Amino acid sequence: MNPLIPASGAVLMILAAGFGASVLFLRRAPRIAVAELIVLSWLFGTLVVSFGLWLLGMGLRGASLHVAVTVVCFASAITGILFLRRGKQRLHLPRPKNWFESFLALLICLEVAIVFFLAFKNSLGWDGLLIWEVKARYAFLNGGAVPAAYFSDTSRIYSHTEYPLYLPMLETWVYFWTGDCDQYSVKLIFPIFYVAGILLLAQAGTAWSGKRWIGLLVANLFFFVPFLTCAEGGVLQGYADVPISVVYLAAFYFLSIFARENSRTALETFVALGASLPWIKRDGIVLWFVLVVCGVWIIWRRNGILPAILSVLPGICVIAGWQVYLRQMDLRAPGDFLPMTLPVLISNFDRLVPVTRLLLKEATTMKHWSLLWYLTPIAFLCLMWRNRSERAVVLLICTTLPLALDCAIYLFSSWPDYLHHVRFSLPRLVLQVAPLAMLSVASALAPRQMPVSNKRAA
Amino acid sequence: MLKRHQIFGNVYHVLWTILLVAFVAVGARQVWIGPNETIVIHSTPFASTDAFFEAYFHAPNGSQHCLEIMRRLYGKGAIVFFCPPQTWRGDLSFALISYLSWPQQIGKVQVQPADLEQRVRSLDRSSTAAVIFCDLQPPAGFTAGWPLGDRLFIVPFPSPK
Repeated sequence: MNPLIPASGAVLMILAAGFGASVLFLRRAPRIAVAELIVLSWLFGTLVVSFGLWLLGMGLRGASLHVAVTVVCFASAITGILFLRRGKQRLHLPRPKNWFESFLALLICLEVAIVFFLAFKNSLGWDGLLIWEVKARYAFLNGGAVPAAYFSDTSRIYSHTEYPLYLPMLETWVYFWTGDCDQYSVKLIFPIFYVAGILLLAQAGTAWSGKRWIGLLVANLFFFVPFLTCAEGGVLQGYADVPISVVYLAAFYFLSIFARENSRTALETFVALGASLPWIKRDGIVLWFVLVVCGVWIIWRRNGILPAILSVLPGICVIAGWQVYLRQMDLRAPGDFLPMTLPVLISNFDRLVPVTRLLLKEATTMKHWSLLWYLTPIAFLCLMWRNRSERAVVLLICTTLPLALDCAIYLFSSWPDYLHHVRFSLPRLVLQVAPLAMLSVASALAPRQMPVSNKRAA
Repeated sequence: MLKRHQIFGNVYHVLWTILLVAFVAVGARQVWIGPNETIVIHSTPFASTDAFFEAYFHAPNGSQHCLEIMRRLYGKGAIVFFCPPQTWRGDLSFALISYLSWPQQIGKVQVQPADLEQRVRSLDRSSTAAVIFCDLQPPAGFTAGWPLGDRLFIVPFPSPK
């Protein structure tokens, strides 16, 4: 049997698990946009399955672990269906209003088809294979849990034993369904993140600009960012950076909805998605921190200090939980960074200029980004000039602050040649905020007067 | 006043249209070139590792070959991997072999060709299952083994007859 068939079963189970979780989160929304539901079903589904395999894998192995997580997926899907039938929500599937929107929607379909085709033609990249998939392989061979010996194996530190298990657990889930480790069929999950990113960008672009054609137009730009589509680190190579960028965009989108509508649904979804960022990749802590800073400020102003503090807790639990787990596993991985102390900061402060120079050089590398990072400052200038609002400021902060913090973190790099460290990893950090940069373009294209009642579907 | 506002609005959108067309044109060109630079895979369970072995070590079906060798060595001691310092071929081949050989213990030693023989002869043979040479000429007495690809050679202890 073609292994893509059981792998598709694994994907459907992820969507089933996420469907229940999404409906639970969106239960108070008067209507649910189908695009949002699909995106959240995928994102929450991946979180349910990865957390489920990790946590249940501490006590179960092999077929029993597979069955247990499958039961969780089914239970979640049934709960979602019951909630949807009992509630008064309407599912909303907008249709193209004119030929131009139809054309843009068709183009998106074509781009997605190309990405799926290319994904199955290109190998996993270095990180995709030797940092992420390697953990999935060892976990599958060990019945579904990464072997404790792996964390203390100093000969395999090249695979970053300390990295979180979001992506490896998803890949292990695919292997449970295919019955063996399969580097080919596992590639199925990455274009789905791409689809989720495009749908979300179309949805968010429509909400931010008030025009659906602008949302669809900006979603089309996703394909024309070369680093995202076809470079090492992009969607074809099985890295964690496209997934984390999509989750970051989703968390930001729901924060922006909360900022505008004071919606509890959006707040809960934002908190859940934001808290999952450190579980996807270590760099997710920076993205989570930035969202938390903005989130706490917005929540405090609307709902008071207590909800603001509570919104931080899930993320802290995820970060602390993973660190406790690593200590239990006797992790022996030398860090890429020196201790974050004042003397280290002072002694390495002269790195700031070369690092910033490399950031600018990277952002202006058209081979990676086309004109994205030329257009983004223009878009923000237009936004500030035409529509100076709280959410425009939050978008600016959430796009630029992670990059500034990432640059600052290189001051603590322990690599002998820290510039090599920067050159090596910076493009992927830039990728993580690229969807937000595209959203700024959508906002800049919007008509000057924003609609009073935005046409967000949920 | 309204007319001026409208003209300004039109200019604004025309400028953005030009920028977006340029964005798409540059991006489309790079996307078109991009995938040609990556390694093409086949629909096999070891699609990516095979592709790496074939592209960089000219070793077709390298993963299965490596796994078969590792199965023979497993449980007989650690494996020591020798390669020249700071080479991407050394890093890649070590990572690929280490990836495939779990839970086999495998250590990497970066060594200059002139120091290789001394380092190999100083190994404790009782606790070593094999040595691997990447981009290094195996010393005399260590030439009986299994080639895994271009300049990638595995020598078991004791040597095969």
